[in-house]
Amino acid sequence: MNPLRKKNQSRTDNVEENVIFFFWNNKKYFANKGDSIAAGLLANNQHVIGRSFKYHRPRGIMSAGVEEAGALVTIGNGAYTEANVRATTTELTQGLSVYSQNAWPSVKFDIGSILNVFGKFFAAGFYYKMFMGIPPFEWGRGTKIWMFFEHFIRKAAGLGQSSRLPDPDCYEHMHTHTDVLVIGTGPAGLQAAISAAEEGKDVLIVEQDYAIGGSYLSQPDTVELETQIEVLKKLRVTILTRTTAFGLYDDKTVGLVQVMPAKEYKTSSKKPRQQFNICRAEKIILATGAIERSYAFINNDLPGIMSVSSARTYLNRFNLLLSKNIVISTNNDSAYETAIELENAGATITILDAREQIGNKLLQQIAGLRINLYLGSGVVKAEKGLNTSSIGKINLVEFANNKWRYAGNLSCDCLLISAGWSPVIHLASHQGYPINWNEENACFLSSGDNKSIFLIGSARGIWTKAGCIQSAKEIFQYNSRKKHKPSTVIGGWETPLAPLYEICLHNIKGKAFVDPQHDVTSSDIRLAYQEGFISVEHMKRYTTLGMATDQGKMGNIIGLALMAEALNCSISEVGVTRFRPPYTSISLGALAGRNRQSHFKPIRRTPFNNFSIQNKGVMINAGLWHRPWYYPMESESLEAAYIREATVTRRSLGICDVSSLGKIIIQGPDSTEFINRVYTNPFAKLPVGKARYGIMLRDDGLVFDDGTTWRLSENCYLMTTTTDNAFSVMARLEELLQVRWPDLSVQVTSVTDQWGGCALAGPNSRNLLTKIIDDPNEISNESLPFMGIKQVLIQNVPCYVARISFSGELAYEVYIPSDYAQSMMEFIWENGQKFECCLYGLEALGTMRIEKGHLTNAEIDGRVTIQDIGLSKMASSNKDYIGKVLKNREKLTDSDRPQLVGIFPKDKNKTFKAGALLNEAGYSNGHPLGWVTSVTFSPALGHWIALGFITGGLAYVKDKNIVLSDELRSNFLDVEIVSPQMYDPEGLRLHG
Amino acid sequence: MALQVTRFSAWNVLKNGFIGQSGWSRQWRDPEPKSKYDIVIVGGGLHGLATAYYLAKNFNLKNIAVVEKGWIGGGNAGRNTTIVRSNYMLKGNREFYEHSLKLWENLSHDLNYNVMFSQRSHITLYHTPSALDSAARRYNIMRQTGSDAEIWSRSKLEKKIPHLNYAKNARFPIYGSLVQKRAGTARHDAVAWGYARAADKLGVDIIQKCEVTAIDRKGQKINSLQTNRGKISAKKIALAVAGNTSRLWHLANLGNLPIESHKLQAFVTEPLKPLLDQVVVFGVGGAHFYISQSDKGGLVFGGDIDWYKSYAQRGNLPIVQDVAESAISLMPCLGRVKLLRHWSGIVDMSMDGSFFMCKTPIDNLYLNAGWNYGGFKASPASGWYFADLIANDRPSEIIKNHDLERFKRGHYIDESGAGPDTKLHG
Amino acid sequence: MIQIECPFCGKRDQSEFSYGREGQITFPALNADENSWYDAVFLRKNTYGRQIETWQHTHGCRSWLLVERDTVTHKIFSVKLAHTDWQEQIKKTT
Repeated sequence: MNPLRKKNQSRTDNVEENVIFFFWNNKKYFANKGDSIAAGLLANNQHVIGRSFKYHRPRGIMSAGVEEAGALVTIGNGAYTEANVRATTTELTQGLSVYSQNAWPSVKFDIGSILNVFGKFFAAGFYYKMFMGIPPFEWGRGTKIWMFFEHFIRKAAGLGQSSRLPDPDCYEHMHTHTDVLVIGTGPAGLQAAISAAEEGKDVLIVEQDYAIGGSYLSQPDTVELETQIEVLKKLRVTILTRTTAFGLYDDKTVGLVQVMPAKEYKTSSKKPRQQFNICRAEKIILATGAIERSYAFINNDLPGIMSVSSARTYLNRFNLLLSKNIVISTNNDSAYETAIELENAGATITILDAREQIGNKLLQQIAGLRINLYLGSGVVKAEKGLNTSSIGKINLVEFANNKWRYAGNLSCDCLLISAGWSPVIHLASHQGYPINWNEENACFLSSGDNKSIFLIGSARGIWTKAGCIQSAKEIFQYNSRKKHKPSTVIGGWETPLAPLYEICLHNIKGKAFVDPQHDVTSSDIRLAYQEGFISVEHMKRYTTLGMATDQGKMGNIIGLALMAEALNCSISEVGVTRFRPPYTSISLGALAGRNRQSHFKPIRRTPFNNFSIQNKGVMINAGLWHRPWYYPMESESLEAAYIREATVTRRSLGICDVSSLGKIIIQGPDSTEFINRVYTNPFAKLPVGKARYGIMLRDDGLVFDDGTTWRLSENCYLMTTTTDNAFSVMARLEELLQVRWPDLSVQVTSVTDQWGGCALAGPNSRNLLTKIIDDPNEISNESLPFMGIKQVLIQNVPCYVARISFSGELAYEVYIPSDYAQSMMEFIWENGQKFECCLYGLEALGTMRIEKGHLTNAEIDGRVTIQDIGLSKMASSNKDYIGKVLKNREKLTDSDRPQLVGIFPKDKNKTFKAGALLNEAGYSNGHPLGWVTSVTFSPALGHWIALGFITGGLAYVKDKNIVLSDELRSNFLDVEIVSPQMYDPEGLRLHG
Repeated sequence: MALQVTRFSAWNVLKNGFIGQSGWSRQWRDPEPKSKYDIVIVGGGLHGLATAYYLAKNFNLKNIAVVEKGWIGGGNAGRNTTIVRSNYMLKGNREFYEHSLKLWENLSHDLNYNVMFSQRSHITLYHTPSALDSAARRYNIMRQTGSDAEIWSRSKLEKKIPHLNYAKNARFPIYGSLVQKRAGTARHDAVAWGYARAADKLGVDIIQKCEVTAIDRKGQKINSLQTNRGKISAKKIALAVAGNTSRLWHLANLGNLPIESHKLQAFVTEPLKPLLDQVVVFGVGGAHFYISQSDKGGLVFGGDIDWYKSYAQRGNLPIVQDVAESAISLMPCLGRVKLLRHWSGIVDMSMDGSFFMCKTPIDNLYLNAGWNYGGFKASPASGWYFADLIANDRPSEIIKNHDLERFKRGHYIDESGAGPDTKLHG
Repeated sequence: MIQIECPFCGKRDQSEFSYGREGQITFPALNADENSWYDAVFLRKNTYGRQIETWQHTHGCRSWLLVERDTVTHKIFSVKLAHTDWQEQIKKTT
């Protein structure tokens, strides 16, 4: 076939400035502006575009739309490479590089096509039957042999090659709310948008193509289209082209992806390449059109075989007459319109109509034209032409005595097929609306819910333009409260179609394709039947029918029909698999939008963040937070830094950012009662101005969180939580108050972000406070005893000072309103210089708390009881609290549960890591006795120490030799199990 | 009776190439249900089919039926991301999943069906030194209990998978990873069909389109099941009906279960030439993401459950977005790669994230349920131990704590420590 | 995407809310017997179809809601504030 570009047409004038160049497999070609890649390739007489998945057979252009299963290409270079692009729906742009895929060394001569020769061995499911052992009898065990074969299979499979470089473009998310969303801009869609807008509705209409108009674009003239667009614009309807409605989700939410024209987003790195738009509409109108089907006959995959409607599109939209001599094989009326237009454009047409008779109107329309009509006729086999990979000849059949029989052959370089139409009901199927087989029109139909989801036009199975437009008008003629009862007649052809899914004769052999991309043949479907894979789901999975990039838009129904035939039942009994989003594939970049790199899971920064960075703090991720890890001096390592920080703090003074702790204000007359129910230990008698450390259990009695709660006034408390659980403790308190105990009069408010928290620890902490606080008397040992809290003025700013210690030293936490945090910290730090003073980070904080046996989520890991962590004294027996009942279950009170312990290496020079296991000496196989949760070098003790859990606790292992075993890091050593309070167990240092 | 089955081998594939594939018979029969069986397994998923196979194979039992309301392997068998691993650390789980992995290693040979189990390594990434340290406990326990586990440093990872996001400005810089090399992926559908074919060969009746509509219970015994294909009575009845466990439990009037059903989405991209050879898991800062590439070339991935209870086998956009964000963060080259399909399955989440395999308050009823995320990889061992439980009417030592009553005793098998909030056991 | 009509904030995306638990669960008194606590904490009706459940408008007004929803179709039938007094008051003012 040798397509001709018609000259001087109105839409894409073939004048200089409208000519663009592009590269096809690195060779330069010219095309017209507005061409799709497929149109550009056809215009340059390029017909072998790619290679099929399994047999590597040549694939040409089969359609002009999203159903394309043959012409898949790779576009762009380097990081801009995009694989598996449909040539039929992608606009050619100036200088675009287009490559064929799945072929080596070239698409014209592909080594892989040797697989085609052995095709008869590669029936559906053959790979389930071999490759597991040494061939031919599958000897052996294990997976090695399979993995050997798999290596080559993986290389042969796959289609395009994606880039391994980061995608340089950006993407955006958008949210839209509209009264009416219309999907599709053909005659029905445009009319629906107009009718809705005339009712005063806010309307959004989307079109997947880069041009508006749908099937209007394939018509010889565009007067009607232009008129409709004018009306739309006057009515201020929002029109989005290049926008695919890829999925219908719950509550009338539609996922849209809009592709920006290359020339726009390439001008600025900040402009998105694509936009993911979540649209919520009151009414959704699916004017999504219908897709023309093919049927199975031998070699129906040869380049040069296309759908009838695509020839019309190439003719009218792209000014391309595919051939001077065209054969059309059809079973319905729709092909005739195209035949007439092609004839008008100068082609000689042969129509093979599977029906034995057609209506008079049609006969009159083609009378006198160069159209030869053969009724009761079809194609049984296509053959390659000489010196080409494309079609050159067809073998005909005629219908006689209720069956097909051979009727000679015909030379043919362009064969167009129309074997019926499949309405695009995918979006309705996404939401599970019923889908029914319509026998008369041989297609599946859905009607949405006729309340807020409507299907109109050919998506509803209406084949005439007038009918399509009428179906759109109808929706808005009804009162919106009533359910819409569509009256438009389905179908609309003069003569009904004759179902046509396959033509085969037993004496003519070869491959007849049902799914040309995945190389599923009609005999594969029969084999699936023969082997018992008769349900649609089984057939699909066994043969891979409909699982290629086109998701079976053209081929699925043929497969169903062949299975129905084999089962001797109707297609409706075979059923249909549910369509899954997306309707056409969408890029992951668009779905992720701007939430990538540093915008992925946005960082939470404390109010002291900048201060820490200015002071050379190295930050580390802690959940979503960035927290200071350590503050190296010069080129100090992490280890050197934290040892210094902990040493200086214990010797004199250290300052630490503790702002990420959760902070919750609890107010109201019943606050005391509430807190008393939430914590295991009593709070009822806590005096104003004092705090208590509390343990919170889950409903099931295991430890949930710990923290300190301060009584600020009679009915007001400040609760602190761990950084990790700040969010869940807050939600939990709200649930308790709103759902479980609405009778309690209590309000809770999260103030985590309102207050910056800074710990001053070490023997000089009070001395520093004295220097910075406006009235130093407020913090004397008497007025602010251990576990006391006070509101004080620092630089005239009201702050809280709480005397509390996580490090085990005399220490305070100062809570500063976030807005003042930076300047206040600078002020504190400046005053700290009067002493030996350092900033300390998370690592040194960890060191000091491990020395003291204080806990974090490494120990409180959701699996421990209050006894396990040695705090059973905190479980009050005089009051009721959450978790009290279930914490007493049998297995939770066993004495052989793992319990918190301290760990010393016997050889004090040895180091080890968390995650190591603890075993009894001589035991090296099976579950361990215990494990290590937190490890540090202890500057106070002068060697490595750890916290961990061991079965039965200290008492059980008293006289046993315990070995620490870390096979992962090849570290084994003898350890001594000690009390978890490894440093200053009496707490003398706390009181300064 | 059982079919004469052509053995699967390269030899027979070759032979059938010459005879137009005419030598292949049905892979399993389509029998009419008998009115009486010794054992009826409800649920033709991977676990039900595997159970039937091991009952017949390990215990030489005949007269077994698997009844399936739809088509075999049509539930979660076909809706998962096909990952097989055994990186569990708690007693019971550890032994169970390790045994499962061992069964996987020879499954193709046992079933004479290529299930394409490919031991391509399962890599869990870590993003701070302390995260790696604390996860080391799990992998050390694996080593000490006879499994394989190792640490791959960042530089080793960079060599193995150069196109992960190693950028310094990555939101969560990669620090290192823990790896189980024997873990990998398999062809999920093939597992269902392979078990069905092998069980059928041993005489098991696989009855599709057979839905249980009522359960005839007399006190502590179930006499028969009412189905849309007639009444079937059985001496022993076993439930393996993920996603429908509570419904059948209610049919038997047994009250409530420690199970809540949620939906879990799965995703696949268009086929690409080899891009990723391993299974990579990315979980940090609330993100949860796992990805591998199928033999066909599609990248298969998933993330969290949809966070709310659901029986709808379709996903919603928030998780689609979350998962795409993780994908791009982990592999920035995926921006131009296109999503082909996403769907979802119903997972029965339990109160500690571990399964139930046990006797029930009914003497002749056995339960296999609550697989959370982990059902696929468990299939062989699930069939193995469930068959053992049914045949011997007592649980083996390994699963003795996977009973429904364990929470009453306060016995948890909680790998993540999330506690009795089902949605958190992702 | 499921849309939930929050009594305070109006119709919002489900992603602003967090699912809580089955709404029919009533938690026993803090000193009730172990069995009634066990039932509330560990057992689920797991309804296939219409159920009452709790949600929190986490990224909104933070109120806990009682939502009646079909777990198969995701259709929502009603949304109320879980806090009984608040629900009474909002009924009066609207």
